[in-house]
Amino acid sequence: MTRRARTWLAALVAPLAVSAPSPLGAVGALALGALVVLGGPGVRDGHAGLLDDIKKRKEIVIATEAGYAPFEYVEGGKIVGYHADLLALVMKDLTAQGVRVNQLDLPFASLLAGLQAKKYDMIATALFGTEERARRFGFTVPTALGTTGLVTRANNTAITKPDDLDGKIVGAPQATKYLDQMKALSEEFKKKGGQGIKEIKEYASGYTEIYADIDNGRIDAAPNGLPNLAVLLKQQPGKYKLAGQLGDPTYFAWATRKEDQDLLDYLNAQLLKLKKAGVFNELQMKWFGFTMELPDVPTLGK
Amino acid sequence: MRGFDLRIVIESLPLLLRGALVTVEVSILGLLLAAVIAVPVAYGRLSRWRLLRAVTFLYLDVVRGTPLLLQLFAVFYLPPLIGLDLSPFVSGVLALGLNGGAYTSEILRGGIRALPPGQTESSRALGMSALQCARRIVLPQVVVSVLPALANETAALIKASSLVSALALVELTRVGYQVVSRVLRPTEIYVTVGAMYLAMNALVGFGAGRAQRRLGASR
Amino acid sequence: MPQFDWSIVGRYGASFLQGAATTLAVSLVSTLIGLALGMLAALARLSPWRLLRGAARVYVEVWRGTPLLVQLFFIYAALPFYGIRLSALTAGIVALSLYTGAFAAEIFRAGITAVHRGQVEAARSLGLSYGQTLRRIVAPIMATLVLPPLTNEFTGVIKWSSLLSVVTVPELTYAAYRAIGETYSAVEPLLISGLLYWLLNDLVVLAGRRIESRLTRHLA
Repeated sequence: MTRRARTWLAALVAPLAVSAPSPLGAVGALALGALVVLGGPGVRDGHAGLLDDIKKRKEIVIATEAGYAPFEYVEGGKIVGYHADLLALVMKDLTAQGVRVNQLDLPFASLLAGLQAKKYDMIATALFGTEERARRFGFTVPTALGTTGLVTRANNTAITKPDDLDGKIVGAPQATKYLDQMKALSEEFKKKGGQGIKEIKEYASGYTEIYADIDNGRIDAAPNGLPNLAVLLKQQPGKYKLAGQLGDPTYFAWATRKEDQDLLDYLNAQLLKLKKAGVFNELQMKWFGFTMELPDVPTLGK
Repeated sequence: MRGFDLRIVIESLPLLLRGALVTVEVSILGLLLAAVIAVPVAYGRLSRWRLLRAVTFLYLDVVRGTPLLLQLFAVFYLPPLIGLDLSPFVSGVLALGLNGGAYTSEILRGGIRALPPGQTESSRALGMSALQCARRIVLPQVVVSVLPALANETAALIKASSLVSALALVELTRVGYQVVSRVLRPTEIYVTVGAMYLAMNALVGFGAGRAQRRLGASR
Repeated sequence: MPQFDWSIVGRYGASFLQGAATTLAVSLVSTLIGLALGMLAALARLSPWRLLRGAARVYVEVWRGTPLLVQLFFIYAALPFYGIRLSALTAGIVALSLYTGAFAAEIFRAGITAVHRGQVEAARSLGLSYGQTLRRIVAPIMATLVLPPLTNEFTGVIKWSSLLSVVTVPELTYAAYRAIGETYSAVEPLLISGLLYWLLNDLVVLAGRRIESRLTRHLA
């Protein structure tokens, strides 16, 4: 029975509590309701090998922020994209053993917090492996290139490279490495005697608002991964333009909790297997139109 | 000036309707939970035992004194501390139910207190237990008397369900947001979404009006 | 027993307090504007001109019947297409004010019509002018009738202002999100911001009661 069906059952049973013929019946009805709702994949115990736990539960819960085309986004009610395709292939071994993939679409800012709080087993989204994050979480081998580029409105001639951002307004999503990069850049400007970035607006989630705000002028520019920007320029020709690249090459990877080494090993093994078979290149051509040079080991950025 | 692109609305309608269905699901379940919580809490507030009064008052003060958005996040992120894990759907329903239950219980309490005490006294004198008295005599009359306020609360809950989009639950508002992300026509989509909520609330108002006339007719 | 990371209070305390200040300021401004709007709309609905009555009715019905979140998205994302590009803060205040105004309109309308006609007639027969009647009799009675629902509105706006975090307004909920994102821990930020909202709420309620007792002292 799906969880939704169980919730409905609980809801229909619960009102019996109010009309039950005796207090005992009421208590019983409420207890039944609670059990039905909370029963099932409720308690996550990360100690006894997460991978075995997943196989026993027959379900793996994966968190994604499906607002980051073309890596992961929602179309027609389903999560699609480069990472979606890759995930399906990586999970093939498990799905063959009857494990259900439960993919949650959640806001980016709290993704890592939720992983720490054991609300799900792993994160499969465009996430940067940074040294700071690696202190608490484990990262897989890189799945894609995420080097930061800048995007502005097409007719914005004032900004053609990162240094032009001094005194301008930028926007970035909360809790992302892009945001940190903007803050660091602003500090650098100030050290060199400039005013720094005039304002860094932090957005709740996704790039929809950010791109729209560049278009309507609320912000002057925004940082994002080069592959994303390449796709943006293709999908909406003439509205935006690239304004240079920022920082060293950085990579996206998937994340697990630090103690779940068995799941991490499984993911890395599967990813490398697919990479060797040329699947990475195939998917990259499909979703980006170009292939990427990626390291074979987890590579952390600053 | 941009015209209103009706075509986009028609194309997005199937997706939006699916989102509306989820809104209805979440709202109905939230309402049921609110109803189940409201009755004991209302009586708890009126009880003779100070501890019960204090506990229910605490619940009411916290739930009515903090934003629903925060309660939603709390219901999603706090339970893992005691080993429980609730899905976004269940979290949404639970948060709406706890929140709606608090407001509904206050509505009920007002109605209970407004009832002439003679009703309770005479039915107890006839030998009814407190529970029977509540269920058979007091509550039916109270519900009818506060029906407009309850209808208001239902409409408020339906609108509040839009907040569950913050947990990325794919109800009407979230679907609207996703569609706008794709087609980039916020006016058409958000106006349509707004119209759908209006329709749902109008139905609730209509239903409540009907119910009041039927049930209140005997007065 | 789960650990509560007290260091988060120290590291993010200032950010939370700043957010709370923004929340209070935004809510106050929005409530005041909303009350003014509400009064105008209530008077419009009781006016003798059908067009005005109709327009006010549409405003009240539409704004009370749709979610604030959708209204906020519309004001923030759709208006720029028509040349109205408001800053996030302005958009938030506009959305909150319009939303509050619709609810306040109904409260005022009920308050105005509830003041017993008899009171007005009695006052007039005693020789009070219309202006004096309005000020000395109608207003205080209206005050007792509408003050509780209106402090309710203010506390309501404080809570609804949390939605403004979705459009980058740096209020209290926004501060909580930021803390969650940077510390990877949801418990502390949620509890701290919850506590701050609760405090704000109780303070406003207390203040409202004080004002009400002051205003109605002479009626006791």
